[in-house]
Amino acid sequence: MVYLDRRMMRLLLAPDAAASRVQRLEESRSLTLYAATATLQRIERNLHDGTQAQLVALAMRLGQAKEKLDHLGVVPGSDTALETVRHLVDEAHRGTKEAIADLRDLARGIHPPALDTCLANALWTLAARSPVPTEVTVSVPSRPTQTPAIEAICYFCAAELLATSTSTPRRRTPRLPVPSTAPGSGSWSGTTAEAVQRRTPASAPPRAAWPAWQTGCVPSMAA
Amino acid sequence: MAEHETLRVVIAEDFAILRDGLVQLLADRGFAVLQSIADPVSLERTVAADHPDVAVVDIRMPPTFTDEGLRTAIGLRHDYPDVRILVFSQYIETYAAELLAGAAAGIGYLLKDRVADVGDFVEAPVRVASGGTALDPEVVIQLMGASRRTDAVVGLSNREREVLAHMAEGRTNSAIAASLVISEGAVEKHVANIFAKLDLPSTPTDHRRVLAVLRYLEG
Repeated sequence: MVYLDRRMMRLLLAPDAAASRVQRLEESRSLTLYAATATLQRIERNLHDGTQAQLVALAMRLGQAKEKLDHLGVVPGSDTALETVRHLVDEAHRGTKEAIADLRDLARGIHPPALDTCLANALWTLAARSPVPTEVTVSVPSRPTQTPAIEAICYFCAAELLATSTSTPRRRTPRLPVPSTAPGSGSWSGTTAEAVQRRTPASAPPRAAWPAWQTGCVPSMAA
Repeated sequence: MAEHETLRVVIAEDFAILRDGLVQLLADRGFAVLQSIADPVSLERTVAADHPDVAVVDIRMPPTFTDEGLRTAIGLRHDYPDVRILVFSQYIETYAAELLAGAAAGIGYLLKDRVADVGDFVEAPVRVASGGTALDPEVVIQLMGASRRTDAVVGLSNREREVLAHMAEGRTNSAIAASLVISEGAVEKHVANIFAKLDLPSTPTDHRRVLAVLRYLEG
């Protein structure tokens, strides 16, 4: 009797082949999403700690060279060799500054660094940089610390919507409400988190290692 | 170039080449560079021990490279109000700008790019040390863009807003006049109007400039 009961339960309640397949697909999709987000974050960080910092140091050196040349006090036109050097240094200085600005825009497009502090901070900067006045309302009481990809998805969706609304003239102020109970938010701590825990080696914890103060937003801004 | 020799500075920047460059630049300009450090914990220890006039702080530092420098700077402002803070970063973030602007006078927030224009950059610690502001033009643009401005600021004319934005960067009347291509007398008139419209008490002019900027930034 018990045996029959068990058979019946398994037959009626256990996930069928299709449901299992959907679950497997959801898991693998979550893994891909996490890996992509982590890669983008790593690229931005490498740019910041490497190329961007080197360019800033280079621009500073060129700025110093430019000043030293200016302080030589030679009358323009009296020494053509010095004038040429001055011109070259000027161009290199300007070019380096432009490269820094370009690289910053590129890096921000890859992974906005404010996202590392929290979604709201990133959205406030996005709205402040928007050419049209934008209202931002964020009510996310705690960060989805184990699924950072969802924050990047929210951010880039908002950025895209804002860009579209900026290019289409409207009379109303664009609004960016981000509720904490968006559809699908129930899965924030679900399959992705489990998949990540399986995938990530213990020696390199993912963003779940955020310090406590980063799991909420800056109090003065939450007001 | 020893006009800033009395200014005692510490530098917190984790990228060694830039840190060494800054030390050399500021020492060359007559600043007394007490320490250069690469992490927030050492910064706190150094400020506690040496009480510098100005701390130049990078926002992204170890261990998580997010905004440790900013957090430490805000903590230092609270614990050591006489130590002025000049924060610099690869990016200008609105929340950081608002946090710093709300902290009171003697604050600076610059893009790292600004070290390229060395003459302007070395003026920033001097302005901050004297209780003024040194806000990046990008900071001012973002704070203007952050749609939290109140009616007090809305009452300003476009030209007055421009003048106020330059004041936020920490510029003098003559520098503002040169930048906007108007006479210094015209700038003075705009500044007087700004003070009147923002209903600022009559105190020494420099102090009122800072108050005007703060009222503006606080929205």
